[in-house]
Amino acid sequence: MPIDVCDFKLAQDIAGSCTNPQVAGLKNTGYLINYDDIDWDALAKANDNPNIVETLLLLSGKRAYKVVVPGNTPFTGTQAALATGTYRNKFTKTASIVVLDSGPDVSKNVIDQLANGRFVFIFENKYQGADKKNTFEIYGLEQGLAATEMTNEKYSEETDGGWAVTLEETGAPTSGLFLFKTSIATTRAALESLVTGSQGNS
Amino acid sequence: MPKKPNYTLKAGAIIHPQGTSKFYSLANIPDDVAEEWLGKYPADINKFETYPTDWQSRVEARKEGRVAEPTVDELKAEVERLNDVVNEKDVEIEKLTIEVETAKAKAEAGAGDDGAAAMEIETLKADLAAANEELEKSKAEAQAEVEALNKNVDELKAEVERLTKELEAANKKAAKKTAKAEE
Repeated sequence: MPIDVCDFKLAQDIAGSCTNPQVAGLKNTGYLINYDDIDWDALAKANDNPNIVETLLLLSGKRAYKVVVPGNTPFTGTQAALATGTYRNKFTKTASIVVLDSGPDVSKNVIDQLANGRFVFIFENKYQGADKKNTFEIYGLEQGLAATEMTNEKYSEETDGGWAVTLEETGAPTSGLFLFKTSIATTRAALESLVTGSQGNS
Repeated sequence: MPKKPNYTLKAGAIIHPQGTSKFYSLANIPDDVAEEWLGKYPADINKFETYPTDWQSRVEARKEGRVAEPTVDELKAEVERLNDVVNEKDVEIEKLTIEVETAKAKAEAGAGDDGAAAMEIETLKADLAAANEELEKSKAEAQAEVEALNKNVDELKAEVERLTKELEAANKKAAKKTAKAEE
């Protein structure tokens, strides 16, 4: 059986677009999914690009959760960075979320769960790219995002006494994974159905 | 009661038939769309959360243009649904029957007033008859007066005619006398 030798070589010119230049920042709404709620058997990537996830489904009765952060720079601190390794370099992806609430329901249903669970985070880039495939980016799909910092500073000007949460995925082989199926409209419809969730009839 | 769909999609799955602007997700996918899609992409059955156990024969039947025979479970579910509809209609009928009975009872309670209304109607009828009689009498009187006047007119006309003739005769006689006197 032949062995698969990874051949890491550039395959595309490097230049920005003059007509559609890169724009920094994210939109105000993101989506958090419990890592174990994903139907991994149904996960499918594009044939021509394994960095594009075409099909991301949830198990019966499960749903995704919207994360809305207001302001001009939501999810500040969200980033991906190279992490050097012994045999292969990988990426550390960081999702920064602000929870502008600190009541008992939030503590029970959100903070306590984020503190110990594993998650996948989908966010919307302001820069969509020429074919809109850049729009929705996924962190945590390979290793899962886990909390590395959670702070509830009562006099914080940033959070107004809410929670600042940092979730991190370490050891991710890919620099970027994007959710895109056929068109941006189809992709948005898929995200909405993730948030609605199935009725759990199976 | 809405029918439970035969096919439901998993959360995150979208069926977008090519050449259409329609998207189907979760439980809003009709059977024909689901089966046509599965006819082309049978591996996509893993995108469905629920589907009939005989989905493959249904897909084949749809490809061949045949209508698949309903399963016993489907028939039972349909019977149950129709029974629910019948029960709902029974409740509605009972409610309407009560309303009709109530209306009847109210109508009967109000029947005592019909005597006074009837008397009033009779009085009005008598008044109307008297008024009509008066009117006829007035008409007859007016007619007689007209006839009398017409008779007077005729008499006067005859008198005028007679006097006219006498005047003509007198004028002729006077003319003769004048002529004789001139001779």
